[in-house]
Amino acid sequence: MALIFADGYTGAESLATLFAQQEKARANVEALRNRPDVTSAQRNAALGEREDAQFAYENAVAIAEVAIKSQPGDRAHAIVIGVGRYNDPSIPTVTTSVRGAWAFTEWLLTEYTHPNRPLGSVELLLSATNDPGDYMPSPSAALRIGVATGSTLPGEAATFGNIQVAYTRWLERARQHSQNAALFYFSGHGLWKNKPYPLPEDAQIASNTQPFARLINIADTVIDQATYQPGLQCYFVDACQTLPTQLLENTTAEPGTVLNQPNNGAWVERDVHLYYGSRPGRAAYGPADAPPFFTQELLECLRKRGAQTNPIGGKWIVSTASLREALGAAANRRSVQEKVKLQFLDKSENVGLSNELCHLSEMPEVFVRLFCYPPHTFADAHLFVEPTGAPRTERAPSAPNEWYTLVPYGPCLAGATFAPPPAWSCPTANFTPTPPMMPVLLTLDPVVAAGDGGTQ
Amino acid sequence: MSTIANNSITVRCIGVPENLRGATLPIDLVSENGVVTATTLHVYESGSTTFDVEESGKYSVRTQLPDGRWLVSTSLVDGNEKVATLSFNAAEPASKLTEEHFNTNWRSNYQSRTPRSFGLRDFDHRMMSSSLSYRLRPILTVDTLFDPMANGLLVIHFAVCESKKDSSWLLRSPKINDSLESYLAEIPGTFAESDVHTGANGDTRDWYPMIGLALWAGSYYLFCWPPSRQPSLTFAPDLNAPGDNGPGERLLVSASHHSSKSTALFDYMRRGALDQARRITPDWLQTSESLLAGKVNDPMSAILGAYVLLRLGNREKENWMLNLASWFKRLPDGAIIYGWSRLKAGDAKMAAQWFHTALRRGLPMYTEGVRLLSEGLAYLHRLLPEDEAIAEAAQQAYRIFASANMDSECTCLLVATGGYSKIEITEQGIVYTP
Repeated sequence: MALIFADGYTGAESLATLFAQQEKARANVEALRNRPDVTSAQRNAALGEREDAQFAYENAVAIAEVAIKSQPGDRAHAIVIGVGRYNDPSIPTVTTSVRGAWAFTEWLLTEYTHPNRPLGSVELLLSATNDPGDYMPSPSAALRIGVATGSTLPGEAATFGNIQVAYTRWLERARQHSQNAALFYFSGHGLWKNKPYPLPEDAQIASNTQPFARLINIADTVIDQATYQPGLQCYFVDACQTLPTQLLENTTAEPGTVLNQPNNGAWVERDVHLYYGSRPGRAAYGPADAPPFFTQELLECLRKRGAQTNPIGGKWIVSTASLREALGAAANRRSVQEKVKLQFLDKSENVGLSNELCHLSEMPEVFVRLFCYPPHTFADAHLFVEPTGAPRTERAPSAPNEWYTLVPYGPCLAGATFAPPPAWSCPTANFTPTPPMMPVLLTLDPVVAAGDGGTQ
Repeated sequence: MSTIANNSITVRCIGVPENLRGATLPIDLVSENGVVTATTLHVYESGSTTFDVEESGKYSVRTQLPDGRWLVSTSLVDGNEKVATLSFNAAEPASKLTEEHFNTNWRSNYQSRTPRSFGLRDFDHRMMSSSLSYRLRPILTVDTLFDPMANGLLVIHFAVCESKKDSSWLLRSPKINDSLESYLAEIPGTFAESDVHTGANGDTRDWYPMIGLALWAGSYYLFCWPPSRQPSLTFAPDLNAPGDNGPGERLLVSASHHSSKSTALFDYMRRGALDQARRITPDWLQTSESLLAGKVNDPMSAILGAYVLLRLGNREKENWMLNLASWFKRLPDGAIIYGWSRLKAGDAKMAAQWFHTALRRGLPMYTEGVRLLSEGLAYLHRLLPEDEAIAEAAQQAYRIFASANMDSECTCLLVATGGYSKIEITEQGIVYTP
């Protein structure tokens, strides 16, 4: 288990501290295992320390979980999985995914905001690469989980077995209240064969000598827990959905395994959303020294770019639907920046329950999509958007036939100019952008030369 | 489009494509300071609807079409009558430009392309996901990038799907003694207007889907054609699907439907815009398609609506879904929908029965049905791993699912390509073994 945070358990009761001590004791035992200079007494002492540390952590977790079940009020419970290293030599290591898991955990601990549904627990599984290594919480995150600033927190290995156990416990915590939120985040490699299959650390890719093993069938996992609360269940999967030849040619109908088993009860009312960082057959992308692009955009949307159209009670709220729309715009905008085709995807089953995900932690920003009429003028138009009191943003000349840009929430003007002699003129459009995405149409007028009846 | 009087906005629609006429769309009225009023709009050519707004000032009127594109117009609410046009022709307004400034040739060219080439302009503007296009850019009616002769889309005469005992299906065709190649007949460019659907005659309770075999880009596809009072079918290249030789190798199939309301509702759901679908569902529930008489008259519209209700978790219409499944005994999709309804109610045994019934009835007409059948049986198999009948059905459904282009509205299965084939010509017809 790798429960690093439970609401109300900080300071001396910090689960993260106890978990770190357990992992340190475990590492110590491993380090002494094959050293000839270590006596059996020293080994036994190390084993004893490990057992004590393990007992202390597991005992604290057990107490915390009982407390969570009896807690009044709703909570958000999260499980974060980052996989950078793989046992199968055919799967390359990847660093961006580890940084993605770090970033999502940071957001949960320091920025996640919902007045009626505070953060309840965070479970972290991390198969880190040497770079960036174990999770190093920011000072505010360290304070939240009760570890010393600057310390690192080793993650429990993100193997299929560990993920399955952690997933079951996470779901158990989350299902205690119908209005809880269950948040799942995965970042690592992935495959696709009619369904997406995220790969845990010990995933095995089929070859001439071995079958597929330990691929996570996340789509069916979500279906299988249809009889479980809570009402809001969000899955963020930042992984490729490419279809490699081995999988294409493999006759296995179902290469993956679900994380839990279904039961024959009536399905509960729930708002279930799966947000993917790629589309079927496509790759997800990310820089080696930062979180993947989808995670970056996701977190920006959760912070400030994914609000619903209207504030409620003066608060800007991110809903599952507004996040979906914001991510669509974010993918378009980021694709131009990164010069790579980013395609995010979402799947949902909605039964009309409360679908509030979180509140914005910063002032809202809004995606603005400009298009022109007549459409063929778009290519030559120098488009711009100018928020009041802020610098003008202009479309890059090589941008495709749609332009997404970002503006702070507030009055803006937009327009288009043309190289001289201009064939078109564009009245400036004044508007207040509405989150998460505002389509703005610029209607152009042809410039009519004196004495001319009209030009095309 | 919007006119103004006494702090109200009158939205008038022009250039509405045929398949949107009568539909209900979610519409936003956005004030100058960014406050949004969300409502719905009934779309009729030149039809007007008036909405009250609280404040005067400049308003942006916008709606997102079922294919994801936006229509936007602005209106000044100041007590004076003032008109701004919201045109559906190309997601941009047919503004004064076309009326006042363009020369005749340009205008006539523009107008000639609008009524039936809605999708073509979509693609030109690249404002939408091609594979989820509300109006697909049809292969057979396009004269620029996809010449039907050059691209060789060939379609057989349609067949009836009969379930066999060995988990295969027989596609029975009138020309059973011909070779596969002679089954294929080039369809003229007016195919979209064809009325060769033989399953849509007489009492709707006897209606059945037709199965076709298409040869496209070197691969054979089986596709489903749902029965309808005005049957027409559109093929399009799937530009979003990667292929060995570039995009567009796979095929998308879309059918026209009698009810634009149901089609729009279904398309919002397919695109994942459940919030938009939810906004217009109450209106749909008040219309004839959701009533018993309406269902008997137009089963396809009822099925499309039922798919949406199922996804939105609406459990108030369970008996209606049962009726849909049992009334139309030759349509698999009703059985799939009701099977899922039972599954959600925790009645695995009954769900399994209805899924078996669906498989006996033939290929699901819609890709949504292919997905639901496979996922439902897979769920039951995980729930009841000892049940051999469910295991076998789950495998069969999965194989169909694995062959399907999930972006196609109607079921479209890749059944033969390169060195492998799931179809065989026999004396009785074409045998399809998933």
